[in-house]
Amino acid sequence: MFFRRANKKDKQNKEISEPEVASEPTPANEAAAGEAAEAPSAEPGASETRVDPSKLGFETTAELEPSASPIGQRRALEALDFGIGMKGEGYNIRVVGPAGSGRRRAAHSRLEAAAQEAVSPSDWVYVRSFDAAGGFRALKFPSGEAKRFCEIFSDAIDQLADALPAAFGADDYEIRRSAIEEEYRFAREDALEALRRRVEEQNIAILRTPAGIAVAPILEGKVVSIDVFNSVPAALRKEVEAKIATVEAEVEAILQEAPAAEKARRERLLELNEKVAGRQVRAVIDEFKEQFAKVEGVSSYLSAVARDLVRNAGLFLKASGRVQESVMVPISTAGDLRFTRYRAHVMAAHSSTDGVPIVHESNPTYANLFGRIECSPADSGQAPQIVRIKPGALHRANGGFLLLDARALIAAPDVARAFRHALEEGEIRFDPPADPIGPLGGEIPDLEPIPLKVKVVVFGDEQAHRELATIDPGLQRLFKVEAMFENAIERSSETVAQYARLIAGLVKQHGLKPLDAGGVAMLIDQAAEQAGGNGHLSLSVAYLADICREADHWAGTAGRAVTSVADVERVLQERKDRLGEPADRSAA
Amino acid sequence: MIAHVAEAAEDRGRVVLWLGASAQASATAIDAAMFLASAYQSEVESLFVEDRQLFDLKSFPFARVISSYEEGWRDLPTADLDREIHFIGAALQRRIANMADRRSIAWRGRVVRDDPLAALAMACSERGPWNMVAIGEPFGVGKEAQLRELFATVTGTTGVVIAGPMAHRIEGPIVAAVEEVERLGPMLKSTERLKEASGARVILLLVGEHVGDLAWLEGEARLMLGDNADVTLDSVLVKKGDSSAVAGALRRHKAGFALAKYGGLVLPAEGSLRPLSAGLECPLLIVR
Repeated sequence: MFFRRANKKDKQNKEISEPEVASEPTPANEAAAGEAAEAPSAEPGASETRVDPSKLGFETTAELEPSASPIGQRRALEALDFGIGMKGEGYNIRVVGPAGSGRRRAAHSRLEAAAQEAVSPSDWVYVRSFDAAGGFRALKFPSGEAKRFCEIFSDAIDQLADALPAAFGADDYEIRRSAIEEEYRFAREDALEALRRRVEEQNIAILRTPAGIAVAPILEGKVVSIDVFNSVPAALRKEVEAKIATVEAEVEAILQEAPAAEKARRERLLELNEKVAGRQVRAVIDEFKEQFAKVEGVSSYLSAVARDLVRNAGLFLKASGRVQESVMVPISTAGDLRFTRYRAHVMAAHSSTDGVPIVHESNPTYANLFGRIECSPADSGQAPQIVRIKPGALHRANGGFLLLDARALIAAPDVARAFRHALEEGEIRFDPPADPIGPLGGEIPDLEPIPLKVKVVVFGDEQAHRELATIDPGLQRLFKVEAMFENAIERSSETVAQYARLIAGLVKQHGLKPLDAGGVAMLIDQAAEQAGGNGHLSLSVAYLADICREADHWAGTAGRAVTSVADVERVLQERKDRLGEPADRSAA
Repeated sequence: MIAHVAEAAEDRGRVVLWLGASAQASATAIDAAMFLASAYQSEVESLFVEDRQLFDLKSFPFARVISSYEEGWRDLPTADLDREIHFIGAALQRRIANMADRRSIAWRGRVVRDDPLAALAMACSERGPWNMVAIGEPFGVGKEAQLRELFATVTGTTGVVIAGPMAHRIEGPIVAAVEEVERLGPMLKSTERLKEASGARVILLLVGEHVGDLAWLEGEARLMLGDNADVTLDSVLVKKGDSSAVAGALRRHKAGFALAKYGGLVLPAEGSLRPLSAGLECPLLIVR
């Protein structure tokens, strides 16, 4: 469904007295005051009509009830309300209207009201997946729980950085480790030494040389010379050679057992280490796991973390900040690159009482929308590590509202396409068009897509929306609601009164001094001039606000508590002189 | 005798790093040699001995060698033996020279073909008596006889540094095992000299066979230390012939360097040193 802009004919047929904003409370004297001020020339097209300040019915804007809503934008506001409330795919909103028409403020105001009433969306956290595929998995938490999870997780790792070195430094561990070393590591040496002693009695030596182990005939502890050896009877020489061959076979057998013994030693040590580390890890992780037992995926993730912690307990031994047994240094693993594998990256965190988020992204680059990955510097002495996954506007706005500018999307067509895909697929998938991660050498880590449910509001003038539709026609299908903001309102006694309240609202919003009736009248006349003098009033709220602020400045400079018509006139005249704006209005 | 080695400028001794007895070189033993040289402003001489027996053996037609990383025996490379041993020695010498250079320690290297122990005795006697010998290969099983022979033969040394097969640490407290009152002073002096180089804390590990002996030793140690709070006292009971309790204490303190007397409870001149050397995680300086 599209909300089309009301055509001119519709407007002309409209009753002049019909209030533009039906929902606004109207002060009892408002219509009468407006009528009186405009009475002589209430007909449309009477561009020369001036507002009579004395007939506005107030001295200063301080007496007026400020306008709560923009005037003359009923259809746009209805469209906004429909778009905000409408469920279903594609009911995103295009807000069309000229800059300064108050479209952004009006939309924000409507969105805020809706956002506060809605239930806060889920939190999301990326954690490293400890499976063979690697990458990161997304964990979904109830609103407000992600930060708590990350804090407790970080504390748990810090606790282990303290507990594991203590466990591995304990005497009982040392004794058990030494026993294993004794059993396996020295088995070969023991066997060789026993053999050495035994064969020494037979005048055979086992020599250890840089070239390896050799077996040699000896006499009085020294290797005999070849001449001496050759001088003995051949039978004896044969006997010695046979003995040497036997010893060599024994040496070889001992050495051949070494790899198996080494493997067994490693396995036993690994088993011991896993027992020692496992006890500490379970003590910390099990308690942690219990706290988040109801959150899907957390239990299996923490089990995987526990397995990894046990396997990599050595990381913690190197990080020990202990200085001596009795004095402990608090350990923080947060800045240590070795522990980035245990870091949780908060992608969306909300408060359970805040409603849904409203996020305005004025610079929708890929990184700003879809997030970015930050790596450790390549020169940190280790392979680059992912130190942070930073959320984008889509993560922050997920479950709520995302506000974008059409012109900014036009400037980044690749991003606009990726953005459309995300809306179509209903998920945030990290697949940047260019390498955003530098030190990893272009390898994009696999981040599990996060389900996306966001209401997008795109602001722009008609031309900008047309251009956006041209660069990515598919995007238009996803914006089924159009809120068209008018740039002018027909002038009538009632709209003049509403205009006065609009000015009162701006004065209040910007914390300005009250503006007297003469000043208000001059601003309304200026709005008529801006609208082209055809019985309309310009709705350029931004322009109006600028005039009010500048007039307030001059009133303040002169030490007045009320901004007067003279201040407004000065502003208009100076703008004319400075910027060439029309200021063909003199005080009534 | 106290642990001492002459300063480089004195030209009366040095740290002699004894290499070549096997294919293994202990990185911890080499580090320990550098540490000692640094502490005493001494120089390091790495003595690579090409065992003459090996060259005698190569004449035999059945001479073969086997190494732990090869499968089966291979003929002793008669033609290439000189070359092979030469390059093994050269590689070791270069490694040590680089280590000495990085630590600004005066270094000289020497290669001799001789009986290993005779070569060591000769090297120490050339400039004596303040030499310290560092055995460059892991002090493994069955080395007691070699150590005994070394202390008997090599007179120009005040001590011998060994590193067991499990040695891997050179940073940590300096622990001196003391079992006699008269050794308290010299041992403390030696540890303080070493402390100046490393900044590590000092622990006097009092060793005795009986509780009464230990109590008396501890009393004397406290008298000697007075208000010296930089030195920590610990004590350990040792059964004769089993110094595993000392090894346990060294592990508990995470010692980076240890000192003990040769021929006592900790390191008996007769009997096995295995209970200590097998569990030793740091270098041990054995003084006469």
